[in-house]
Amino acid sequence: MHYSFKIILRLILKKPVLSIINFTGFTIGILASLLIYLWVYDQSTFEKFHSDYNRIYRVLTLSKQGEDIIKSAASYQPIAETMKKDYPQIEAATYLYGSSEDSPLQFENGKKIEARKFYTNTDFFRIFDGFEFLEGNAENAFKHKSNIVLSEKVARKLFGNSPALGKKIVSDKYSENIYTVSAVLKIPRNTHIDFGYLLSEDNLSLHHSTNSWRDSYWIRTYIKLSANAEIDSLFLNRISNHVSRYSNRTDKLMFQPLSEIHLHSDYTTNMLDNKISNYKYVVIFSALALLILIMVILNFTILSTVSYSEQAKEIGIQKVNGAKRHSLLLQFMMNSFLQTFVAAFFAIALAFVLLPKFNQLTGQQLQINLSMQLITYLFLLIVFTAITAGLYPSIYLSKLNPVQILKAKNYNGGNIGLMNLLIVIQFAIAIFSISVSGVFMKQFHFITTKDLGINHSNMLVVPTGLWYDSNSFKNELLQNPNILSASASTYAPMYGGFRSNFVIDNNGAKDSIQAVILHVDDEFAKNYELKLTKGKFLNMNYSTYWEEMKKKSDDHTFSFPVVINESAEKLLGFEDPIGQRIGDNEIVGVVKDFHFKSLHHRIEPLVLMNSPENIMTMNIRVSKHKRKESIAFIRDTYKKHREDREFSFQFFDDLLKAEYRNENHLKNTTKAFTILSIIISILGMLGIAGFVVRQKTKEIGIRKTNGAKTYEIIQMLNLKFLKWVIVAFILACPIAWYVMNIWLQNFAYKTELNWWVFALSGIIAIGIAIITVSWQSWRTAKRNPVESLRYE
Amino acid sequence: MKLNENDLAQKILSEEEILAQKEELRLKKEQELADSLAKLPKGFRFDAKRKIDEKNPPIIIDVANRLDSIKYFKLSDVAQSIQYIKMQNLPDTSISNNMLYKYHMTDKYIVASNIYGIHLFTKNGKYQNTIIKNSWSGMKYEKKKDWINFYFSNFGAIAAGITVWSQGDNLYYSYQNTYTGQNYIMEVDCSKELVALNTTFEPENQRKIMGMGKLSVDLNHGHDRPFKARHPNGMNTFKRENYYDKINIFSPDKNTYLSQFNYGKDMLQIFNTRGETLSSFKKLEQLKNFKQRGFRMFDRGNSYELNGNYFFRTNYNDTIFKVIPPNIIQPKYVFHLGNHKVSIQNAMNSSFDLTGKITPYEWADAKYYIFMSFIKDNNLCPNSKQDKSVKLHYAIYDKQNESLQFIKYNPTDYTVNVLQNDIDGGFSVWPKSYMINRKGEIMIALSGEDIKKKVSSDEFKNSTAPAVNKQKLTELAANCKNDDQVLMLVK
Repeated sequence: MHYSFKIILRLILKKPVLSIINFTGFTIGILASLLIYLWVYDQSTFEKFHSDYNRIYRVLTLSKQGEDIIKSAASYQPIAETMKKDYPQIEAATYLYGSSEDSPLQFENGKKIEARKFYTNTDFFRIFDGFEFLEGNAENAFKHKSNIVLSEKVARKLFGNSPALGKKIVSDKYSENIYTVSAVLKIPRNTHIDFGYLLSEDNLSLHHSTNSWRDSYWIRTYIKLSANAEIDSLFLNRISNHVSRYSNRTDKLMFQPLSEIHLHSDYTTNMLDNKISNYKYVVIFSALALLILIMVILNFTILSTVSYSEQAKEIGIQKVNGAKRHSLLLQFMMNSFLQTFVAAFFAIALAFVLLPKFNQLTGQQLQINLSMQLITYLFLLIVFTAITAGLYPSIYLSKLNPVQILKAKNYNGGNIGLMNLLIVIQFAIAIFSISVSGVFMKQFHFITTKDLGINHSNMLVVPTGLWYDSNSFKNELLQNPNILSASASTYAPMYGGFRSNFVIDNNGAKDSIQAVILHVDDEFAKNYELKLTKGKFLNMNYSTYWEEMKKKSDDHTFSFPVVINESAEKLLGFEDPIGQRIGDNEIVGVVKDFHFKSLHHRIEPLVLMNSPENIMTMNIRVSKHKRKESIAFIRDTYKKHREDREFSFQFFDDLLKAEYRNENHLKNTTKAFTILSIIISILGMLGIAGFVVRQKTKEIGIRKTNGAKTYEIIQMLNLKFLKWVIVAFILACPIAWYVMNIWLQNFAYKTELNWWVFALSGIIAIGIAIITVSWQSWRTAKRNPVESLRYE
Repeated sequence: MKLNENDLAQKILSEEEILAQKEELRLKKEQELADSLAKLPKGFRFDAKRKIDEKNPPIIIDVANRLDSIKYFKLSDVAQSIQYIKMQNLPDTSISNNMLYKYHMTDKYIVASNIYGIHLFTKNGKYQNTIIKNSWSGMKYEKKKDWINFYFSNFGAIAAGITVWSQGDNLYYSYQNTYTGQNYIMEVDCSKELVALNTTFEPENQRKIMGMGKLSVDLNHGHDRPFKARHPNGMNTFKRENYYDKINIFSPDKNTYLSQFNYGKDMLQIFNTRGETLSSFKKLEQLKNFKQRGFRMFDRGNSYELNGNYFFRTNYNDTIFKVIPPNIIQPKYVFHLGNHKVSIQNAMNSSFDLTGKITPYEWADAKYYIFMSFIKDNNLCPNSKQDKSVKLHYAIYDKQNESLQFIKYNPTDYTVNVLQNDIDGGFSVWPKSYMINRKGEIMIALSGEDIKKKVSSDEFKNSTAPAVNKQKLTELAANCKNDDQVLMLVK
């Protein structure tokens, strides 16, 4: 053992370049695998902190909307109660009833904060038992109607580090309510549920419970099955038809395991669904890590074989002196293990250093906790890497015949075919990575620079919650010359709006269409520079609005003006839409299609309406050069209107970036992995080229003696490698094209899969190969042929 | 818990298609009817047709031959479960809560009405809206006796009738203002967001409708006459249940409405929305030379709404008809009474001996069963009850097996606790015709006080019903206040 160890060390020290290549490769491979493991592990822990998470499901609704069947997490409020009552298989059922904006909370005369309010029932604590009670307990959480359960974040905002339990809080959004804090809950990072505070469903006002089998947008329902629940087809059939049994709706229900919400939510989500990711990213990153590991393993396999081949005589002598095959095998394996272990330590150390950067790249908050699970993973990773890397050289070299080795003047055991295979695989992976990275970058550039049909430059978005008071706030803002324009709306035209059905009467034929409603004021078109194609924009003032509302309540004919977009115009099919009615509204104008959601979504039919009850946001265009001053002015003006409320703002461009956060992380991470794969390819190529050049030192010397020029030598060696890089290119391109084609299907608007992206990847790979090989060849070709000929 | 998304999507599409076809057919028929009614010359009447549906001929309820087939029934023989829905108290505390509701269920709502108004609740009892808050004078409800007195001397109403009916999402109720003489059928579209009712009286607009919805039919056709009592010092008294049982006016569709009569030669008239009579149906059996001043009226017939259709049986008659506007009535059920049948002439004649004679009495058409009762041997009145000379026989018709079975029950026990509740040990059940919902489930109105009394009774304590169910009822009683209203739904 000691002797083998000595031999290994001698070999490592004797060939420092090769050893550095192997060691660097191992370090990179293990580092990449470790980081990806941390990320994948983190993704897989979502919701698993609840004790019976595998019995908890979120209710999904399939419903017909227009011509489409839409799947969503929205569900009707009575589902929880009725399901629990109807099916013994269901042990507990709860729902979260959220709202479109935050609600105020104030402790005594302290600062008024705003937090997201949810109503729920007592089963919430039975189902989600993983939320740690920092204060209070589940039994007393909703003992009284006026109890309030705060999230840790909100409790800290209101009470600092003082205890919150038993304290009275005032909320005065519509009417003044006084609540008593009954519990404080810690919400972990790895959950899709996020709330500021919880109230008992007993507080649900009549307004909220109106048409309970109709409104579902702000409700999420969760059920927990009994431990031994019998799930048969009859039960599934009944439970999927549950809505139809209680209403005349045809909606069907589906059930999503709680632990799958984070990665497998293949439906449109809204503000209630937090931290939703996509399993495709896990697959892509894991695949990239695996590919890098494969590259590293191949590097070691080939370069070790080559390196040992150069030491063939030594092996022959060991064998002649009685070295058994298994002791040689052990020696080769030990080499592999030694290098992998050392590399693993470096990789772990590097992981600690690079983790903050990796978190930044992926948008995660990963931490390295040396848990048993992580240690086991690392151990298995090292063993797997070491064995797979050392297996081929060990078997190949230990079975060599000593007579043949010793007879040969210069044993050239290096398997050229295997080396070529390595070049093909490594470069195929590198070309694949470069292509993928290229397409990601191209798509990201496309979605972040595409003209949305609106002018959003220097547009500040301020959530105001001012509703009826929006106009006076806007008018005050416009007094400042740095405020170029302003308009109010429900949300910034990035978050879409609410879907609704409109009944239309097209030449006597009744029909209904589905469109998105965005409530805006009369300055909206001017502010965002929407292009009007027909009619005029909304110019209704609020007094007219209330007059129409009164008519509506008195059941008289009433009319609210609306403006539609071109998609809605096309869908409606009116010859001249101006003056036509959709639902209770008269169309007064048509605007050119513009994007009011991220480019993941198609432009849908849109109806722009004016309703002061739904105005919660101010969109303010500020002077490019006076941003700071403008923000300060807006803040001061806002404080005059809402002294208690926290002022917040975001630039539209930042909102836009946030919508593409996932894509940005994907692009950055892929870029990093591509660089790693290129480095490994270069290392591999350096090793192989070095070996080949050493093999051909004599040939080069003879050629030079016979008058060959340096460039001819370089050309000869380059051609030898380039043909395999081209093979790699031919193999990698279709795979990359196929994978990217699938990925781009996630987008309603996508960049073209141009041939030049793949050609560029090939050129980059060929360039890397040429530079690497040329450098090695040039060093040898420049040497004095006498030295070359004396070499052997 | 895995379900095939594509299969479910297909299910939705096919169900939507069926719904769309049904709705299309209904609208088409309604439109055709409206078109044809609009073209009618003034005074035109259709021929009144009594027409058998050949595909669904009337079902014979063979009373005469099944009188001896008596079987003991418990509630669990005809129902599987009981649900109690506690109705949220009305936010308007000025509305009295001392009278049990009459319930009607649409696909989405529970509609609760009594003499104080009509209110919408969700299916789990959450209050949604008040459709109308009645305003009465000269009317008094005596809770102890459970009856309603009307005093004509100061009688006045701006109020809705107790009976409501619905088609799809549209809810209908009758509305009258005795001061202005307005008399309407009102229509409320419950698919729309209902704006809270504005009940402020406007002196300058005395004709303001104080209920929700829009006018569907003006029953006076523009000729409103303020109410004037014929006998200003008189009064009228109804048992609450009799009052609830009565359907004065009903509109089977948007183009017609109908009235049913117990007195006189006609039994039913169908009108168009202008008030013109479209068809008139005469009673098959008419009184001849009936000159007695005193007469018996112990059978007032039956009338009920089922899935938007109107069914009725006229007094002392043996046929239950379904009404198909504008001019058809279809016999759906016919009692075969044999020798037990009594003619209207004899039944009303107070000197005729009714021994051995049977008259149909109650009728409740539920999903799988029809619950019915019969009056035998005498006139049903307090005196005959007192001397136990009148017998009440209860029977259940099984729709699936098409069989009639009489229930083993003391015929002179008039307390009507026929189906002993062995599901949760609570209230015995005997359904009323007007308390069957669209799904054919039995609805029973209870108060918190009723439930509390029940769970403390020996009958409940000694009941062998499953302890879990009994416990639920006990818990409900503990959570109820005396004046809480609870809907018992027998499924």
